[in-house]
Amino acid sequence: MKRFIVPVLSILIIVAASGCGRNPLFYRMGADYYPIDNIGSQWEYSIDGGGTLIVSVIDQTEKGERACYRVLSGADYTYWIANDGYIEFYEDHRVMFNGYEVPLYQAWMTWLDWPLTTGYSRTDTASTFAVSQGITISHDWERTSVVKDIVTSPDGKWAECYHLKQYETTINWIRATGFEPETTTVRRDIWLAPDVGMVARTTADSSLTLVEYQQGN
Amino acid sequence: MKWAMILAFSAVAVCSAIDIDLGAEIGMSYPTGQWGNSLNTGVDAELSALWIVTQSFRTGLGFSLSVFGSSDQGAASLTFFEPQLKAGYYLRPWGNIFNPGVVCAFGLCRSSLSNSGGTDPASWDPFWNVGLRWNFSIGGAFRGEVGGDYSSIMAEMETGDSFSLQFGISREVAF
Repeated sequence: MKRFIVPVLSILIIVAASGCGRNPLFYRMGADYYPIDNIGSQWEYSIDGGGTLIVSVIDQTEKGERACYRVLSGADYTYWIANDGYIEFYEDHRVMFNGYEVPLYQAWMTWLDWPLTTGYSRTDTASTFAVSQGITISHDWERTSVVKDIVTSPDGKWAECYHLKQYETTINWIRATGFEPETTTVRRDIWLAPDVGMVARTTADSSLTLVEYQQGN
Repeated sequence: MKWAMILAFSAVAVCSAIDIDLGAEIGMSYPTGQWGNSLNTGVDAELSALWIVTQSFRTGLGFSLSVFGSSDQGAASLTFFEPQLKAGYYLRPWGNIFNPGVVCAFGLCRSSLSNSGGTDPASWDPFWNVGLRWNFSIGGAFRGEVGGDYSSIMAEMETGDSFSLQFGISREVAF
């Protein structure tokens, strides 16, 4: 029995001493990185250069024949569905043509699927066209989301954030003489904090930082 | 270096033994915490070599591997690799049909998560495991075992707890 005690104690010491290589993986896996399924939740962001953006979950409604959460972001509504393994966003792409708003693409699309990981990547695309006033307008859209790393938010307030980079390219082409394809490229850096959601977002022309978060019911 | 030491101690434990219980188990794991919200039921496999210290008590080393997939048929997978120190106590070791016992294990768990081309940094955390077993003879010097385990990975900030059903087969080997 004594011969047995030595290796047992040795292994226990090794196990107890091995603190290296640890990270809160289970905390991240259990956290909700986009908690839009609590009605009444509100995020208040300060806009770099002045101003405030309020984002709040208003209610549950129906969009595209599916039940979803309606989120008021500034003056615009967005629509989300939170599933167990992924979150969906209602893509509503429109373009102004000759004074008319032309709907180009409306559909539910997966925004992110859980759990996030460093190096995670997903690309969504849509290619369609619409006819308005006898003119065809083609629409090609692509969005790539890549998780760059796990960091603290830029303001240093939120730990274990996933730093997400999004690249979104839209090509609208009015198929008529004198028109060329119009390409718009947007790059976003988004920081998602556990059980809070988006705590910072930067684009080429704006920067948001979360100043207050109130969780709804 | 850590692995070399663990293997060396395994060798010491095995070589000093006379009767060894070699076992293999498979099972299904069910996460009990929020960490499993995006995951499906896991599949376990384990190999162990236990020194039969007395008729009732045995102890030794084991290695288990568990794999969890996405709950939504996505690309996520979580794997645990667990080198461990095991012990078991059986109430009726002579029983052909009914030999209840309790088992426990303590060791290190390497947790690795991947999804859609990405991989989070692997985490090495201590873990413990306790379970109940119903051990029985299946003939030809082999014994079968069924039971349930509760295990907890003591990770930082939040533990990874799960319940598992285990089915095993073992054979005593005399050196």
